[in-house]
Amino acid sequence: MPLALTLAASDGRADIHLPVMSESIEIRGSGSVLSLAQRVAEAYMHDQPKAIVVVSSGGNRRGLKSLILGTCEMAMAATEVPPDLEKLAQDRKIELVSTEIYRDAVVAVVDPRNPIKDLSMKQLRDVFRGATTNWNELGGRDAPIVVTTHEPTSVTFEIFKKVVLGDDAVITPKALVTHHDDFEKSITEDAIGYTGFHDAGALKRLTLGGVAASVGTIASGHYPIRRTLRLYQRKPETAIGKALLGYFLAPDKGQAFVRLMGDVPVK
Amino acid sequence: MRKLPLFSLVLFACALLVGCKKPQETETLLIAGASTMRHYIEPVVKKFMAENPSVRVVCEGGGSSAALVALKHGAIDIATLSRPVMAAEDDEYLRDYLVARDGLAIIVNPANPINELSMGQLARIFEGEVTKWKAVGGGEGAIVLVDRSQKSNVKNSLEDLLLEGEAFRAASKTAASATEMLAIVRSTATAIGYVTLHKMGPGVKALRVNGVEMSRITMLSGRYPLARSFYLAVHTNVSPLAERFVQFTLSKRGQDLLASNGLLEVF
Repeated sequence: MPLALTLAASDGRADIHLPVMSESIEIRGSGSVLSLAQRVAEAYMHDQPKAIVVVSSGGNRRGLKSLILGTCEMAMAATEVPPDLEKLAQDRKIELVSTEIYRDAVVAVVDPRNPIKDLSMKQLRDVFRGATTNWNELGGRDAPIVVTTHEPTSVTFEIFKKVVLGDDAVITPKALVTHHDDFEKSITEDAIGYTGFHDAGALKRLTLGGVAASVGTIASGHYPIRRTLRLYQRKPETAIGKALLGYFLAPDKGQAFVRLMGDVPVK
Repeated sequence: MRKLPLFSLVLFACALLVGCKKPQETETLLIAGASTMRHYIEPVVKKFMAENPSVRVVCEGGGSSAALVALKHGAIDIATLSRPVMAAEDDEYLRDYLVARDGLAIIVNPANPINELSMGQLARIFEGEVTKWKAVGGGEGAIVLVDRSQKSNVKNSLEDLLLEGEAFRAASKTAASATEMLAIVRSTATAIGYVTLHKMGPGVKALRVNGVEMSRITMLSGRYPLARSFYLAVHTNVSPLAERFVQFTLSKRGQDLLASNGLLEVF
């Protein structure tokens, strides 16, 4: 058995090194990239019958932390590496490389019964900071607006907050915090929320100042609430890591699936 | 704050002090966690102890959540998990290694017109709420549900995945083994049963679940819903003995032992 026992004399820290078997790789991280990663993993295993590509979600942090600690080989993330994990990587002398995989949009959503179809950026901002509290102020029914938001740790929150509210406004403390798993259910008849373009389900996506989120408007920047999805690896990249990344970026494989989902390919 | 699994470290230090003399003391490795995992890991534990006669491995259940708490407090060396670590449980000292996935096939007779069921439909069939094939879009006849006669890994797993651990209540026939399960389903036109991917045999039809085809590839990618991940979690300051155990589980031999118990190798 190849024992990779490294009991460092200085701090007694023993690290486990994964066995070097180039035909297996594990991807962890952002749920936003999950369905793409699953399709790419399947395409890769289909072409390389001996390869093992395991995919699991768990969020940006889990993916990046696991990558830094060596418990996975590729991380999916919808964000840059947060400062504390950046430091963890530096402490452990781990260098990460990131590759952009695709872009998508964060959209404001309402119940399909809600007559509102469009809000300007200013209207959206006022709703979420709690300055506009009734749908009738926006041309809708006479009903209080139920504002919903995401955990402040979520990337969707981060991007929505940055683009819509900016640095000088906060989301109303009255906002209900929703969870990814039951997001759709939490958008009740008078509620408004925001989510990744593909997570809207049966909810109605609002256009923003007359602009609908689409491949064209996201790529051109006309639709402004955008995020970039990335894959991270440790340096030096492994052979299977490089090969798999190639599948993510290939116009006829990963990028074709990105287009199929309605997202914006990088190639 | 982190705490070391002191016991193991002290023993290790003792062993070093004794030098080339064979240590008389027994080293103990404490593992606790998911009860399902306890059964699956047993052959690995046995083999590890056989190869390391001075090591005693104590493997307890207690559940994934409690084990993570115990691990953080240094009460155990390794936590076994039948689910991923949640964000609230995670910190930069926790390393969770994916060691295997389990994958279950739902099987029917090839003459059955049904090719696909949802998780909800399967739950209702195994609960005994749905008893006719017509109720799930099939042909005439009562559903002959074939269950395993005794508790087995595969039965536990399916109960966890479909009914959140509740026992099946609707068996019309029982099989003592996977081979018998296959034989009954092969010879009964209206039967439904289950086996692990490794035990899948000819003469039966595996159903798509939630629209996803059952295969090794879709189980590894995570799209097929009747599959879940098993992890071994250790503290960053892992004891050398615990590290050796994790290494062994991740090695080819460890993976083969898990596979012999019905799990899907991930390395």
